[in-house]
Amino acid sequence: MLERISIICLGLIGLLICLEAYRMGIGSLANPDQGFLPFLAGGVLFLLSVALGIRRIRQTQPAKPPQPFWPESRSKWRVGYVLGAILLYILAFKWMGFALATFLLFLFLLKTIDPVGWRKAILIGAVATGVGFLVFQVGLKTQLPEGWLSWWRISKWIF
Amino acid sequence: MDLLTNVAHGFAVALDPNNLFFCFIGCLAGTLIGVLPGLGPLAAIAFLLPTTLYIPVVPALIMLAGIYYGAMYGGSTTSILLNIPGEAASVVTCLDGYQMALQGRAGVALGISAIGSFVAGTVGVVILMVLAPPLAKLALKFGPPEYTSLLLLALIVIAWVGSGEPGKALMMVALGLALGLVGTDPITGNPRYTFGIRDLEDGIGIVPVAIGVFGISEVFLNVEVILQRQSLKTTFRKLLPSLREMRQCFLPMIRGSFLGFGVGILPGGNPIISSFLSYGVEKKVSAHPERFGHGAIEGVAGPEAANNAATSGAFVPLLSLGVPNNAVMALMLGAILIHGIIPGPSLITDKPQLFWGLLCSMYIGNAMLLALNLPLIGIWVRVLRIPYRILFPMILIFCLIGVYSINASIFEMFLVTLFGVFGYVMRKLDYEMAPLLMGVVLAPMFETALRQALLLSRGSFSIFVTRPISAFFLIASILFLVRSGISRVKKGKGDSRGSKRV
Repeated sequence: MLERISIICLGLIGLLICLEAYRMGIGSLANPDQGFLPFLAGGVLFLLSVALGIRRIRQTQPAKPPQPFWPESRSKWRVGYVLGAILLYILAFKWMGFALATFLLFLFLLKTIDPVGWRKAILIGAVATGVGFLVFQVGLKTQLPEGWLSWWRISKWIF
Repeated sequence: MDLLTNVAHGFAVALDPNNLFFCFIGCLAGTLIGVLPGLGPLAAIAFLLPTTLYIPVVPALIMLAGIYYGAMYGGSTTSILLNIPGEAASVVTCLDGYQMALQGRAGVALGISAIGSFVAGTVGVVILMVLAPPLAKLALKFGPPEYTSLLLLALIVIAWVGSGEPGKALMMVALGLALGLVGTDPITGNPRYTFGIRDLEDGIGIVPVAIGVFGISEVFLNVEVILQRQSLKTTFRKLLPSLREMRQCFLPMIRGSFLGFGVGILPGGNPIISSFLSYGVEKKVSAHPERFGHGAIEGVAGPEAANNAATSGAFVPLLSLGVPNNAVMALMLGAILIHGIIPGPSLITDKPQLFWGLLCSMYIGNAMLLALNLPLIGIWVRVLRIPYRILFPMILIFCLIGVYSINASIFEMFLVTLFGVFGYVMRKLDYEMAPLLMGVVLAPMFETALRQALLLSRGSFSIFVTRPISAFFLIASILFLVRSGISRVKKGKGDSRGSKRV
């Protein structure tokens, strides 16, 4: 079922790409315009999804036995936790700063997915944040947001 | 003479202390990645791609190549000790490598896999030395029509050789092409598919797509189920094979090297295919095929040499024609393009330091792996025990901060998450992500070549068939499609017969 939905979605995306390419102008064969290749790509995507859709409708038996989308009952929660944590991390990244946001992300993931003890989680979170700082801020000279923590300036002064 | 001068120049570049350092880092990181659970070379190169922006192109590519072939070696370690391949190309090594470990010969298995990789690296450099000059001459005959046909062939082949359904892979190619065209049109300067979002005016970069669909989605897939792995308790007193074992492995390593290189050079060729082919060949030519699967040392030496040689071979089409033949090479192309260099015919002559330096660094890198990894096997075994629950937050941070470090853009962090979710869902529904990435990487080149070719011919498609090289690539594309269609029809008939019998 999910596969059929994906085929329909891709077909619709292909159609939208074609329509937008047509609006932008596809030009002529002698003078192809900016919409020319997007129109072709969208068209191929649409036609393939139609062909695949028809194939699936005609198929009496599925090519392979359907697998559950989530292999375990806890799978959706684990993936959901990770995705939610990433989104919150991105939202808090500039406001809270790299160090605090990264440390909290580690703490959350280490305590929720396959939990470790508090002491271990805090230690790993602190070390990983430090390594991240050394690699990106010191090594690669990335301007990471400072946020709330004033030790940031001290560390800059040290390095 | 020219050839020897080029090779000497290549070694001079590769032996530069700075390049040597990045080669070392690449080999070390590659081995670590190959050894670590849930982290393949593709995901690792994807999330390390942003770091290469801060170093010149030659050491950047040397490091990425080191990661690639280092991961091949590291992957073998987990195959031999755990019976779990660290990456796909090491699946074959499980068959005899793990059996050797069970017989108390884990050290010898690890040793021969390193020696095999080194021999393959040597053979690869020698073949490249012979191949590069004629390839450079041939590539000079390439114009827009030839490039259009060649890129079309590359896109079709990547869809055809994947493990999934070719129709789905072609859909991913088309979607990738469309995604690769987002942003400002290079000719008219008008925005395309930006929906008024300024961050999209420069296009969707290769890095967010690669990190999203390979890095983040891999994490989602791995956290679904928590696996506990048991490492084999073994000793490593004897690492070097005996003289008799070396004699036994010499021909399999040479055969594997040539076979692997040949497969690696082909569009769609990859280390997985080459290692399986090599195993098949060794079993076939062996006087005692019954030993295979029960700890035959040739079953480790041949495939290990083949998968390493395939990595060298894959660089030939990339550097001489600018066409990646697999997803890792597409990422390499991304790394080259990020530095403003267009790989292609003129690269061998215009940037010999890049071409020869990279090739010679691979030779040195293989020697490094041999010298470093055998004494470090004990450490890699310990690394094997790092649980994934500690590893995945680090991977996530590298992915997210890596993307942020390019343009200091929060938008790109969201974009990478979006591609991560997309990749996760689509991979679960058996859509492959390598064709999508190939589409994104090749879209700008393909569009420019196609539009230029049509402008040249004033709209006539005959330009693609009247020029011999272009016609050759088009015929090859059609043959791939037709063969794929025929095999699918045959398979369908076979299936229906089978179901009737049931």
